[in-house]
Amino acid sequence: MNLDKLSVFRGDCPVVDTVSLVLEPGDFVGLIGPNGAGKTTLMRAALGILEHTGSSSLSVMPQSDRAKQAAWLPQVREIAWGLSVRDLIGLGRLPFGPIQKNDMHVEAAIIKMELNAFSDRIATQLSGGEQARALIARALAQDTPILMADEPTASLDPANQISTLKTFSELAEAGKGIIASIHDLGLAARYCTKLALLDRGKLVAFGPADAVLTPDNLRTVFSIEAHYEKTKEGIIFQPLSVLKKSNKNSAQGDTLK
Amino acid sequence: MRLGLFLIFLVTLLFLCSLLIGHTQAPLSTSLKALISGQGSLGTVMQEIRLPRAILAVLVGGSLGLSGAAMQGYLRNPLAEPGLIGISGSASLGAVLSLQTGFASMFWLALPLSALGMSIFAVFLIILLSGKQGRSLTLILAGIAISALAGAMTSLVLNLSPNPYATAEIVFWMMGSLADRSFDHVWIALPFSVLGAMMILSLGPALNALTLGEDTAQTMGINLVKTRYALVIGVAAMIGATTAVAGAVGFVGLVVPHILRRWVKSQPSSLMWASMLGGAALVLAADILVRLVLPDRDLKLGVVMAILGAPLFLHLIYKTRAELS
Repeated sequence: MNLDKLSVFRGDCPVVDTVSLVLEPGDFVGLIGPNGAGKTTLMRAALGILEHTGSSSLSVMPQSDRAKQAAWLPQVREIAWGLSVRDLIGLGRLPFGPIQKNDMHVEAAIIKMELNAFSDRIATQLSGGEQARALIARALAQDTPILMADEPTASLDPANQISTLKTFSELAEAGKGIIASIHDLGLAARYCTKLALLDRGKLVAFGPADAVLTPDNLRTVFSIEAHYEKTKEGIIFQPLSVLKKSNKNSAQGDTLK
Repeated sequence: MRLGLFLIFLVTLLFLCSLLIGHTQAPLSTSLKALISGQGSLGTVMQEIRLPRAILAVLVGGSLGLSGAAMQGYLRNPLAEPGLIGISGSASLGAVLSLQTGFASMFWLALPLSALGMSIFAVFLIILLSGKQGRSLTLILAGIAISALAGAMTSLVLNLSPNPYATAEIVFWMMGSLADRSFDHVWIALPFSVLGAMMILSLGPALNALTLGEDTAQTMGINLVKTRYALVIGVAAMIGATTAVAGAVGFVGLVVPHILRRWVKSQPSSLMWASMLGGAALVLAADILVRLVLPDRDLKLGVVMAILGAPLFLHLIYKTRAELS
C-alpha cells in the first residue's frame, strides 16, 4: 500500500497532514501517537472511506476490489445482531461471493484467535474481550494482503494482547502488510517491525522502534519520559513520568478522534 | 430451510381459509370449483371478492413484513419499522386529500393513485433531504421530518373538513382494511410490490455486512449509497402501494421480524425472506379474524392488527428482558 501526501481536512484544519508512507508485504507497522493525533483518520482515509486529498493506492481501486485487498477492524466494536460466532466470522468472506459452510478461511481464523470453544455461542452474549477476538477473527477471515486495525488490543487482557499481536506479526512474516494503531508503546515496540509516529496529523517518524521511540520524540510528542532497553527478551519499554505538558498537545485533546 | 417450508405451508393454508370464509358459506370442493369456473353467484363471490382480497392480504402482509425486516437490518435497530421513513404517512395524506376534495369519488382508482403519487413525491423528498452520503442517521431524521409533516397535513385536512361524512370516511379509511377490494386494486399494488420486493431482497449481503457497522461494511465492498437508494425506493414502492390499496396497517413490519429473528439465527438476509412470508401469514390470519369476530360490523384490519400486535410486542419485550438479565 502506498500513501502519497495524504491529507484529511475538517473545515480548514488538517487532521491528517500530507502523510506519505509505504506499507510493504511483511511489514507490521505500529501506528502510535497521542489521542487526537489522527491515527484513525489516517487509516480510514487510506482505506478510502473518508474523503481526502493526496493519494492512497487502496482508495483509487473500485470498492469491490478494495475489499479483496484490505480488511479493516474499527475501534468501535459493533455487532448489531445475535449471530453465532462462526456466522459472524463468516461475514469476512462476503467480498468473495456467497458464504460457504465450513469455509477454510473461517475455520483457520477461529483456530488462530482460539475461539473454538465459543464458535457456536451467540456473539452478542460474549464478554467484551471475547467479542473483540471474534471481530479480529472476522477480519482475518477476509484473508486480504493488507490488514488495518484500530486499537486491536484495547479491552483485551494481557495474555490476549500478546497473543493477538503475535498473531499479527506471524501474519506479517507470512507476507501480509499490517497497520495497527496501538496505545501501549511497550507492546508496539516489541511486536511491530516498524513504528509510525503521528503528531497532530503529521508523520513525525517512521522506522524501527530504536529510531522512533527516541527520548526526544517521546518528550515532544507524548510529553513523557521512559525507560528503553534492548534485551535478549526483546525491547523493554516502560513510560516513567509525565513531563510538564507543552500546550500544543492538550489543546487538541480527544476531539479529533 | 425448514422454517421456510413451514411458512409457505402456513401461507397456503391461510390463503385457502381466506377464500372459504365470508357471508356465503359453501363446502371446500364446491367453493374451489366455483373459483375455477366462475359460474353462479358463488363463482362471482369467489373470483371477484374473495380471491382479490386474499391476494391483497398476501401482498400487503408480505410487503409490510419484508420492509420491516429490511428497515431493521439497515438501521441495525429492532425498533425500526417501514413507517419510519414517512412513506405510509405520505400515502395516507394522498388518500385523505383525495377523499376530502372529492377526487376519490370521480373514478374508481382515484384514491389509490393519489396515495401512490404522494408516496412517490415523499421518496424524492427523502432522497433530497438525506444527502449524498450513505449514512443511516440522516435517513432517519429525514424520515421523521416527512412523517411529522404528513401527519400534520392529514390532521389539518381533518381539522378543516366542513363535511362530517368525509371526515368519517377519512377516519375509517385510515384504520386500514381489505374489505370490498377488487382486482383493480391488485393490479395497482402488484407491480410496485413485486418490484420493491426484488430490490429489497437483493440487499441481503449488504444487510449482513452492516451487522458490523457502516465502516466495516464499506471495507467489505458494500456501496452504502447504492444500498440506501435501493432500500428507500424498494420500501417506498411496497409501502406506498400497500397503503394505497389497504390503508395504514401497523405493527406487522415491527412484530413479524421480531418473532422470526431467533428462527433464522439473526441473519438479516434470511430474516427478510422469513418476514415476507410471516407478514403474509399474519395479515391473512388477521383478515380472517376480522370476518369471523364481527361479520356484520366491518371490523377494520388495522384495528385488529394493533389489538393483536401490541400484546404480542409486550410479550416479546418481556422475553427479551428476561434474556438480557
